[in-house]
Amino acid sequence: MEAHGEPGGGTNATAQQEQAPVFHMEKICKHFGGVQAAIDVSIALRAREVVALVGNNGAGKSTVLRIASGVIEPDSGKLYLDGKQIELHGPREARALGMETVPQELSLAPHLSVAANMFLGREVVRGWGPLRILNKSLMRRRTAELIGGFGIHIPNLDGRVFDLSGGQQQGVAIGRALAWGSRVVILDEPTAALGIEETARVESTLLKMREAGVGVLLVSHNLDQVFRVSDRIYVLRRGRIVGERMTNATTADEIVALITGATTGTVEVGQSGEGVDNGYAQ
Amino acid sequence: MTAAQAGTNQQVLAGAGPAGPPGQGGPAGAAARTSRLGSSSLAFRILRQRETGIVLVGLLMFVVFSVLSNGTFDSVENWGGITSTAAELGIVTIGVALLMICGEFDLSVGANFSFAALVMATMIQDHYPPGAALVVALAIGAGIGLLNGLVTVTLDIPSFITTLGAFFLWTGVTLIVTGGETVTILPPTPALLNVLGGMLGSQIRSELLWWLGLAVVVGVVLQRTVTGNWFFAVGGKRLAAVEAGVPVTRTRVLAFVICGLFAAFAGAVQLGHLDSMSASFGTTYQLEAIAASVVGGCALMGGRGSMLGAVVGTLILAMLDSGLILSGVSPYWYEAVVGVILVAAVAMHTRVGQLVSGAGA
Repeated sequence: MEAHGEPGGGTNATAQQEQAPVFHMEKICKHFGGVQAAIDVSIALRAREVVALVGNNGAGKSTVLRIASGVIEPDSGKLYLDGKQIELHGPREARALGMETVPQELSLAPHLSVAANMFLGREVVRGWGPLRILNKSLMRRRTAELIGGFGIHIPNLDGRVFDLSGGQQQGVAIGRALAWGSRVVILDEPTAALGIEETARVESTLLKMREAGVGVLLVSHNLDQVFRVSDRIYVLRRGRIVGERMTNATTADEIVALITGATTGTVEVGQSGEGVDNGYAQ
Repeated sequence: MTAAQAGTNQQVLAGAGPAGPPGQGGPAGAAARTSRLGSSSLAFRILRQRETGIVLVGLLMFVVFSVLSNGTFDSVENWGGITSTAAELGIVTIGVALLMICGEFDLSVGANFSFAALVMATMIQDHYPPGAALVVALAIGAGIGLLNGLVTVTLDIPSFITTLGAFFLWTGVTLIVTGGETVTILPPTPALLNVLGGMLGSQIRSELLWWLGLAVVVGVVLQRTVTGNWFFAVGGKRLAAVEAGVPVTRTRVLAFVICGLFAAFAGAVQLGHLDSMSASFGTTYQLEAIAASVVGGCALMGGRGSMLGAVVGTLILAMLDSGLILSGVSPYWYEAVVGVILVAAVAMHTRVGQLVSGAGA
């Protein structure tokens, strides 16, 4: 099938204004002990859109991400998938709904093969009853197709993940998220440990993901990267969303100012949380 | 070959279908590339197996002892003895290796071994049906494993500690119950005990077949089933397994149960061999089984290992036991040499791994 979206940030953003979000977090609050990690956080994510979430360390990015991927549950607030409210009790439930996460800490089993990792927890078997045997050739073949289809190059799919380079391991993790994440893919600092070439490869994969009709939520410290691949940017500071910008209508300086709180942003929200949940259009 | 032809899984297709880029570099190209690489590097893959090195070490040991012993080591009679010793330790090692692959230890297998077999011996002595006695022994083994597993996962303490505690507990219980006495089954020996550990022909005991048969079964489970896959995943990186939706707690507890079951079965097999059992018979097995597993390539931190390695590792320890004596070396050297071999084997696994996989180590 021919790919639809155009590469590069934000070119089809106007058409998306009317489109309903595929995934939507509404007024999410979460505290750990006395620390308010997330306060009235509302984030919307549409299909065919890369949304970046930026902020300083401790701004609450991981908390928001972990809530979105079902690892932790919010104290209050709601999650919606395709307009329907959902509750996530664990990452498994998120996965079952077509929401995949690539955590910062690579979640691959080091001594299993690439194919076995691709199908970990979703193994394909043949045979009957207690005599069910892994269908290794089918899983291997499909892994080759999936990984190749997304332009990720892994030299040996039978080799252990342990023996791959950092970039190749990230490729496997992202490939797995792509293969199973039919609705939403969440990536936490996917290129933090990678070199320049590997980073470029991951970014092009990320754009392919968008073309495939998936909503992509990206956490990154790398603002250049955010401007290269994202359509829209949310800025978190001290647990609150302090700004939301279309990528092609903002500058790095403005985003940095929002992240650090150096100047008062044009939309300083979060006092009440009102106006965030449906305020994409600035 | 296209994604649509590949299979039936809707979710995979839903994710992959729209994204496949047209033209060159597509899925078919990638598949062809990988399969070509796969076949051309067969020799490379054999070298990469951790077991290759240890099999060579085993063969070398066989040759050296055969020469030093002037032909007594490689005699059929001696191999009847070696395989009999190896079988009892080997059955314990199957369970211990599987548990180590899953990232856990069991230091209580020796106590489990003695306790289960003593209960079985006592029941047979008291004229219970031997079959019922075996079932009770296996239930005790599985029960001790289950308890080890449940305590480890629910209290979230390292299994090293849980099972060290269990080792003392069950050793103590065994001594309390038996008063330290040896239980001997007087003739006529029940047929079941001969099936477990009696002579097959003139040289070989049936326990050899139990050992190798069970190793093959567990090997197939590890390499070819979902559960086996999960043992490797849980031991290799537990967090990854959790996030992939593997039922990690259930998988860990299952590994403890299997380990306990094999320890008790090994006890039953030794009872079948010796027709007697004492609290002291199993006491060295926990450390020997861990040593055999590690020599055979099990990683101490989990995620790696194989049944071929567990069998060869056990065989190396058994050959050492017999070979030293037949070469005229004092048997007191056994422990000392095991220690050296253990460290050397791990060093070899590490070095070979680094050499073969290059930067990946």
